[in-house]
Amino acid sequence: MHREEDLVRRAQRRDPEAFGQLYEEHFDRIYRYVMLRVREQADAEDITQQVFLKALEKIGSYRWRGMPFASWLFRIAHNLVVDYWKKKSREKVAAVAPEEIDQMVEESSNDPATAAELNFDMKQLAAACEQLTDGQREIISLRFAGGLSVAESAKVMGKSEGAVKVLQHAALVKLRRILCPAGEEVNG
Amino acid sequence: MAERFENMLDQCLERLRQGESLEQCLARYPEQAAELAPLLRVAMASQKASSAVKPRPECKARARSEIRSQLRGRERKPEPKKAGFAGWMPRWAVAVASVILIFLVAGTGTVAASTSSMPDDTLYPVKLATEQVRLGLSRGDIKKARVNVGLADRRVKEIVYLANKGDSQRLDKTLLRLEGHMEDIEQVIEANADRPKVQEALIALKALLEERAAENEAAIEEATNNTDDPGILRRVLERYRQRYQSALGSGWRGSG
Repeated sequence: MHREEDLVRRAQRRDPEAFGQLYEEHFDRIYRYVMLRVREQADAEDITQQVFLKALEKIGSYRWRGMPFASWLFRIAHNLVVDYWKKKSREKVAAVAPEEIDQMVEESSNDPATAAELNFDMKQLAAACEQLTDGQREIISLRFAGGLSVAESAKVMGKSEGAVKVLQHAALVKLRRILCPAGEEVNG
Repeated sequence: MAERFENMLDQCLERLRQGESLEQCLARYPEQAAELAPLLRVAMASQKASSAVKPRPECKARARSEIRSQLRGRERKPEPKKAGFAGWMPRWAVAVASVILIFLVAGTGTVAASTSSMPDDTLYPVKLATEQVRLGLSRGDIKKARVNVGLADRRVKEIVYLANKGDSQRLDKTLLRLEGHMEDIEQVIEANADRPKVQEALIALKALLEERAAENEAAIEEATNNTDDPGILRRVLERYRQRYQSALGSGWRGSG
């Protein structure tokens, strides 16, 4: 934590190497989080870049008190994703039909190489997440794509850790129902 | 009870993250294992699916370049352009004047002979002067930097020669000149890092520098093994490495 605190302080003084290290450490996880939320590679790339440009612009106002740096970055990413969907909602976005998800999961579970364990790819996960509530989708994205802890996720979402754990439980139960329909459960 | 289950689920997720196996996790909660197992499998598979996704390197490079450009934009004030070698004259005039100058002062034979001269030769100052003319005639920063890469090669050969002769005084001066070439190359790379139009030329420059650095390093290392005083060449090697690695950059001090 001390190392990151030092990096952030240096980045606040516009030290390019310090900001560069923060960028290298967080870029991939922010990208994965955004990718799971928006599903389009080009859009995810643009948004991830914007996250860091915004962070550079605002880093002077960041304070350690109360919010870990990762949570602060993911908060920026979350806001940009919300803006993205607001803009998109004005366009017609084709939602993934439940049958389509079933077909994707079936294709995946027919693969003998992956039959021993539950296996799906990002596309399938993103499609399944479409069936979750906003909060459930957010916690899955933060925890399993962004790699945040419950405490960090709670800060991003502005909720208590207890509430985040409840949400995480509900999200995993629902994801399981979508990705492992009754009778097709794979036992590893 | 409900909340306790959520806590157990989260503790298991944390343990899995720390490298514990699913079986080990479930063994801690035998009564809830049947309920925990499918949820943990979904969580593990979600994490696996996400971690397989990586941003394209060109996307990261583009973002990095944009950020660097923003950082520079805030820090840098425009510097007045230096009037270089005969900066007020048209370039063709510089070329003609330089050739005439070289002919008048030294003659072509002398210039040619000086090319292979070493720092302890009489013609060595002619070699250095000719190099300055070459640099002055090179159009554009990147071409100048490429000339500097070649001149750095020459300095390395001279250093090896001087180390074999045990001439540490001239060696130190030559090392300073070598560092000067490397510094000039680094400045060009840094100054052009955000200019999209020259990225191809910049990549080629870096590739050339990398290739030459590998050969020069090998030459210095070989000479280190064959000299009575390897300490001097080790110091040269260390400083040369620092310089070219700095020029090639870590991505945040100028390279793409």
